[in-house]
Amino acid sequence: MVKPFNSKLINLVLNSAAIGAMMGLVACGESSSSTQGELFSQAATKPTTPSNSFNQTLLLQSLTDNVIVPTYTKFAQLAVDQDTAIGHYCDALTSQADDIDATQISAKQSWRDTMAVWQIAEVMQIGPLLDNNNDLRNKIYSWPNTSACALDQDVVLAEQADYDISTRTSSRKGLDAIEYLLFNPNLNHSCTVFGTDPQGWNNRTDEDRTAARCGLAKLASADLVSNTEALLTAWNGSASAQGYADILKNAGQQDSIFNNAQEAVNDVSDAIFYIEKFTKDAKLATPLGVFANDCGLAPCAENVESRFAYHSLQNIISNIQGLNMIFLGGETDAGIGFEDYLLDVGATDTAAKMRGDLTEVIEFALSLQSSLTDLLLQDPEQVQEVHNQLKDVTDNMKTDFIQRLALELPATSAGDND
Amino acid sequence: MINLNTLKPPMNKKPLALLITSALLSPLAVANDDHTSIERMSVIGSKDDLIKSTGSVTLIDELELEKFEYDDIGRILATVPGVNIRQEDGYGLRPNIGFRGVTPERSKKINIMEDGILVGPAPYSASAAYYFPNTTRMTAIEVTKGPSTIKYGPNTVAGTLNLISRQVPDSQEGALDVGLGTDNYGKLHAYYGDTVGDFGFLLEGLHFKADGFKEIDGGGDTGFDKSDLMAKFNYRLNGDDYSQLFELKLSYGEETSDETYLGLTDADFAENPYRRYVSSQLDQMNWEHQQVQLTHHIEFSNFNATTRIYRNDFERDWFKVNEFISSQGGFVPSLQQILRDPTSEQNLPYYQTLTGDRDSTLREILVLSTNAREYYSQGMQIDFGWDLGLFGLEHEIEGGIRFHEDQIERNHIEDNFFVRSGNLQSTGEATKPTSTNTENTEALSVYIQDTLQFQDLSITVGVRGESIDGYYQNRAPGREQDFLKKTNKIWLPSVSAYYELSKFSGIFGGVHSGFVPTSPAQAVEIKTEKSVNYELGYRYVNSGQKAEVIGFFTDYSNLKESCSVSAGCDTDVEYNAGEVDIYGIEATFSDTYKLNSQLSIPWSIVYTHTESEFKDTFYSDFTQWGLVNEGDGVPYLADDILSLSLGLTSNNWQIFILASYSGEMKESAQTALTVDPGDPRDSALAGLKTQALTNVDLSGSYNLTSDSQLYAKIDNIFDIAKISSRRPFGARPTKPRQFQVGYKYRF
Repeated sequence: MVKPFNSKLINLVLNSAAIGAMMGLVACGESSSSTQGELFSQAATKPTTPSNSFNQTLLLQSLTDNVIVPTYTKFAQLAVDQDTAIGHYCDALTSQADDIDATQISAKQSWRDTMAVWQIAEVMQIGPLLDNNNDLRNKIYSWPNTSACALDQDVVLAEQADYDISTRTSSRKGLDAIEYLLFNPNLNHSCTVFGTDPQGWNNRTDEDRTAARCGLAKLASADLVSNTEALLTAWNGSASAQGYADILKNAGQQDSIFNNAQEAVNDVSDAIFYIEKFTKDAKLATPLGVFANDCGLAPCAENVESRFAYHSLQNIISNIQGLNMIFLGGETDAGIGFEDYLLDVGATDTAAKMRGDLTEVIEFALSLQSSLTDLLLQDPEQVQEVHNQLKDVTDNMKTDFIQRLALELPATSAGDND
Repeated sequence: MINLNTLKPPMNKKPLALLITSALLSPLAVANDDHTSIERMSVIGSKDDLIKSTGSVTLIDELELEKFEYDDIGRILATVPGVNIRQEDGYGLRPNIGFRGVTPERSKKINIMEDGILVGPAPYSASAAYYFPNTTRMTAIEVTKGPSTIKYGPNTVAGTLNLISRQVPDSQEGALDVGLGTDNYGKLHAYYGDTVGDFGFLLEGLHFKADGFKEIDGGGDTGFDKSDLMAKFNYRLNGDDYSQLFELKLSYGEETSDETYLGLTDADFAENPYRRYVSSQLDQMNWEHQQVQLTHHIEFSNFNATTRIYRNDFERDWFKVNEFISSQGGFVPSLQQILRDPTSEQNLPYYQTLTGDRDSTLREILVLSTNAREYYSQGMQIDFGWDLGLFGLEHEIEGGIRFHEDQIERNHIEDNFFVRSGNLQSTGEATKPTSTNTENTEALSVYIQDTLQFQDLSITVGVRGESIDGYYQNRAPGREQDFLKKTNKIWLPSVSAYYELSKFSGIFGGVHSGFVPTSPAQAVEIKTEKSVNYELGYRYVNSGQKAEVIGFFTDYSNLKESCSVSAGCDTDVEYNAGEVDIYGIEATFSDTYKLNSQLSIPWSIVYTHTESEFKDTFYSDFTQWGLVNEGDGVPYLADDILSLSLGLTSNNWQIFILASYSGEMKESAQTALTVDPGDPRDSALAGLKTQALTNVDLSGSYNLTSDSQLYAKIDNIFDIAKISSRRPFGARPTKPRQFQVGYKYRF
């Protein structure tokens, strides 16, 4: 039946109002709720501070003042000494002095000394060393991203007046570069791809090539000094910028970049997992053939870390010693370290096991009388034993250590690759 | 698009097939009082419904689909306004479709339906559509945008793509289609069906394949093989005042394709866009899909209801190059970084390994991942339509309820390879599990909407409700406590209207709430996507002439994107961007000009212009965003998309040409890499764009008899090669010129 217009209009309004009211009742927005497991990844990124009386700030202060900054400072002094020693060696080469051999030995030893301390610092990579995709760390030591051919090219380029090593990529400088330049007995270039070889290089005399390599080593050692100064400045601060040491020690306080001290402790924890990813896996498992290497799945001496200086085992020992220092709070247990944190939360067994495992692996590694290269060639079981003992340490770190201290496991260590 | 005046069965096809199609399979089916009308059951309703639709709905019918015999949904949708597409493999095996500016990535933000049922592998739990039905066997395709979207879910921001499979004919009917083409393209497609008494059945089979147009260095396959089988059985049980139909649908599909995510450097693309590096020689995708669907439809004079019970199973393994690793650890560039800057000191060894010019060392070990996944999607859905008078007005009420469950089970593994002497060689290391987890969703959805007619004004008011229970569980040993259970409930209202200016024209507009849920594995901190969507348009339809112009505006309060391997991420991680605006205009003009009683010239112009802008300045780990400044546009959205279609048809032959243009698209929201020293948070493809693409396809057919037809076509007749995308790993080309001839026989 047709109704008058007004009546229809009223009905339209009534209908619309009724529907609108109905929709209005239900269209009241969104609601959500959730429950999650302890290991849900998002939860793991937000560790909560353990409910105990341990003062994380004291741990950070101790590690900063007793372990990290002293290690960097010692390294910086050794870098200066190395620069001096390499300078003497290069001078001797240039002047064809009688003490070439002696200065060479001295230069090589200075590199070993410097490297030994740097390898302690490798497990302390936090703050400034990690900025801009690990830029400063790679300038000091870029392994495993090294390039022998790139170095051969720069040896020649460095003979030109306008060469500026500070602008070169990290694989052409740093401790790894100096090792190649000082220790590689093969004076021929390492370039295998057509068009990349430094022209005329292999035709030069041995003396000429040795001097040329030393020339770049000198530039690299000076550049290293510069970068270590930058590292110390970044930690100790300057007139215009707060040092990272202060930032770390005051983590979680007003204006801190850390929400709380535990967050900074987690950064230190991330750093010591170097021991798992690099020391255990890259420096031991890979040359052993646990992971694929250039020999397939067999021991491969070519794939050790310091293959020119035969310093790989010492590097590994230094890494573990560095971890031990973080654990103890210094070279002895006088300072506050992660061991104290574990004891404070009641993880006595975990603390004792870590101390025991660390002591065991350090003592065993120190007892080995050959280089890692020789061991891989002649007695790989010994290397396997170092790996096994170190795995005891890292297994503990990835489980009890992390869980008892409510720390976040780095993503790279989430699984077990071997 | 559909022209209802030309909606007649091709050759001797039975019109009842179209009737049943619509009645059973489209939630858009609208009943009216005219029981004898073909249009009563057509997908978009009656001619009046087309004119008076309060939202944007487009139907591509079988006649339209047969014009170009496309197998690629991306090419088919070129004639639909408001559709943005990112091409990938050239064949459309895994299409990337978005509507009105939403990301086209794996079509994850639109609802993909077959016969009115969600057909994505796991639409709630893992929305990336790694399965997409073969469009070759479809008889119609329906695109819904705007407020009408509220009837579908879970994604209501963009719209719905409903593919309609062949229906059981009401009398004996069959056909055979054989096609051959470039690169050993071959197609064999046949069906047969009949209705005897109250029983009807249909059997359909499709196989098509090609050897591929890409060339792997050193040789190897780059093509695909796809097969589909479908059977339908129905039974009619009519009463005095109602009609009723039961139908069982069974289908099986499979694909083996030698596809890769690895593309080329821009320089290599310029030299030979169809090259594939040797490191992709083992890449291959395999999948299987099964579907069971039971449908019941009952119709009274003013009420109808359709109940569907469905189960889809999908299983896929894609073995493909994923990344480099180093046994010594340290920094290893991504494939994207390597291909963007292949000659840098850092990247050169990897590039040379990738191309086989150099053997791997322990620092250039190639990782091939097998992302094995098993999915299911099941549920029951009831849709009804009810015409009734209330408070003195006629109400056209539509509603529905759906109980749905879907699940994805990931069993990803990785294997390591050396590149040695131009071939991939296993390192001998054990296969390594990576992602081993399950995501499951149980969802209850309801919708109801009422259309009121008041003189020249139609008003539709509706609301959709979604209650979603998600469950994520890491199944890796020792990770039992890595789980998440969450519940999300939301109501999504809509209102739209059509005002009739004349018998043939009107203006329409609407507003509705947009929503895209998060997957079960995403923490509650990752917000669902929400928007308010507006549209306003004008439509004129008269005797084959159509003009439609629609302005749209999507006001996101939170844009959410998920990043899968196809987008350059390791796992399906989701990200929020906050407020974003996307707006634009869609226009369609079409007509048929009769030259004489024999010859006609049908033509159409479809144009879409879209603008977008982030409303905040922020940084995102999502590789397609990076460092975003307020005002930057969203990636993979062309400003202008245009298609021109022109035909010449006679009684027994027809020729069509389709020219389409899609403007360049940003590969990343970030407009440029930061200057020296580069910010490590830079999006690797910042500042790069895909290339604008102009494509021209030509097709023709000749009816040998009333039952048989010869057809031929050329896709990309000017053989233009453009970069379709540089994601996830390097530049990949659009499809080159392809010839195809075929023969069809129908009875």
